[in-house]
Amino acid sequence: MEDTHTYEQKILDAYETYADDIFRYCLVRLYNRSEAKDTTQEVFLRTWRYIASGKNIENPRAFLYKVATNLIITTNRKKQPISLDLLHEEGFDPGVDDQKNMMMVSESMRVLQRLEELDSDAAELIRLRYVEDLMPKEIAEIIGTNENVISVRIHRAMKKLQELIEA
Amino acid sequence: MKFNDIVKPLQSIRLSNNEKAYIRASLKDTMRTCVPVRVGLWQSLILWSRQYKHYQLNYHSMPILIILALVLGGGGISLAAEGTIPGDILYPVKVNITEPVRGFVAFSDEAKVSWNTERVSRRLNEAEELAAKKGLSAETLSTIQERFKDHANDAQSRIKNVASTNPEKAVELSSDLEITIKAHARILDSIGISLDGDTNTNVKLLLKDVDKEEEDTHKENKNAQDAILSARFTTTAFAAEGKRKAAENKLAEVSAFVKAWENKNGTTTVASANIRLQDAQKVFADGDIELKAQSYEKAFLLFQKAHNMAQEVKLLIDAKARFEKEDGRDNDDDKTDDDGRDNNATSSSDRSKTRSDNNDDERKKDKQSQETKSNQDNNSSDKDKIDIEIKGRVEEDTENQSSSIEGSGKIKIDFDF
Repeated sequence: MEDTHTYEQKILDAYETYADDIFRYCLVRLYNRSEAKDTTQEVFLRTWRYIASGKNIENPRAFLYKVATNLIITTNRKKQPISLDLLHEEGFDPGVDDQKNMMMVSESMRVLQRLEELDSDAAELIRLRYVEDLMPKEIAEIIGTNENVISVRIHRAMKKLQELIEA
Repeated sequence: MKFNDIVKPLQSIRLSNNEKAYIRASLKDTMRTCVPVRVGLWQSLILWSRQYKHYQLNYHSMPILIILALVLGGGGISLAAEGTIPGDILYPVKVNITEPVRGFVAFSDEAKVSWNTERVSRRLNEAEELAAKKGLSAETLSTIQERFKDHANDAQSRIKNVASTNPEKAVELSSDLEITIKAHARILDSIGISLDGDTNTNVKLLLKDVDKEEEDTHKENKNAQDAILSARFTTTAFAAEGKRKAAENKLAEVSAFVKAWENKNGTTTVASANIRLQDAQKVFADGDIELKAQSYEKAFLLFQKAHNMAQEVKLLIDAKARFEKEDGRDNDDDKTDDDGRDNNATSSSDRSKTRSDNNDDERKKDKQSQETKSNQDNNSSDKDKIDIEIKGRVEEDTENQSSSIEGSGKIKIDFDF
């Protein structure tokens, strides 16, 4: 069972490195902490099953994000439309020790969620650019357009978000 | 508020230390208990069949080889062996072919232990049925004994392996095995008394071995429990809560089971079962107290104990059902306690209507047919599942020395990916 142990260890190592990133990626798209945690776990489990069946992964980070994206799409498809009330009721608890930071994260999440309702593409661009920290060029590659188009869209999205804050 | 006030906090989102540990533990647990299959099913069948190259070709092995060839050839076939006991024509198929296949595709130590526990149960079931029906001969006894000890020892040594990295799992597995053996010991003890002569002697001999294996398993269980309590391992909240859930489900399941039995057979027959269940509930409540106090090791062991107690109740009632007379007369309520054995005589009866009757009387007939339909148990404790649904008929014409096999069936094998 040596092989099995190696796969297990690989996944645990990947978990140490990427768990927070994957979690954040999920949380800002699912707006639900326990769902984000479940999804994070499922991402690593599916990756484990993939490598344990003998298949090779060239770029672990990219693979993890890909699995996460698919899972998020599936989850959101099943969900009812996002409700602000739901977020409020859940007693959104970031679990972060710092009280002040917790309030700020909570507030940010609410704003992002409102943006999502108005313009989901804009929300996604904001996330890719400012939460995932990707460059417009990289985003353009992912989406499949050119860099200029992306820069313009990001700028518009920022404006929309600003309007929401000020309203 | 400015734009950065919004996006910056989002960048700081992360899992808390507790959350991170919780998910990590959950990942580890799943990875250790569900090992994905890396070898294809047909490949494993072929690999295993090479071990049986030496199988002697004779009259008795003919039908087996035919079945085998048809299975590997992919045709629809009936494997009517599942419900057989020693003495039935297809019994060798069961212990030499179908069971090894199932063992072969159980890859992890945990899966193999569960499977061997199942095999222990099967051997002892066979012994009990033989003892009750047509008698347990010395010859049959020794083959059952050998196999039973093999399975038990295999399970025990694997439990030891598991305990070195995952003592919680080891406790669960060894409890399961221990309870199974214990329940059968009680059954064997009670049927031995009502029979005469050889069978009685042989049952007593088997009982000796069974008692020994119970002891050995108990030792492994105790070792695993000590490992949990020692400083070497930390039981996580996750593991304790998981065990709580399992115990809760088991208690509910067995309560419902006892109630159904009560409705069918009257309150007196379940008096001691109810008492035992109440005791289990008390242990469960103690577990909750430890859980609140964050003593996860103690909580885990208490929940496991409650689970064990409930499981025992179920197995004993199952056994009651098997030995009940057809005319509906109930046995006296068993007085059981932790170490005592049931001393009431129980009578044997024709229990299994799904099993074929292949006893000596019928052999006198020229033609003999055996119709069996059996549904394989799923080994539900692992994610490896083999679902074999078979219908079949074996006809043996002893006068003309011919036999024919016909039937249909499907073998569905699920592996969780």
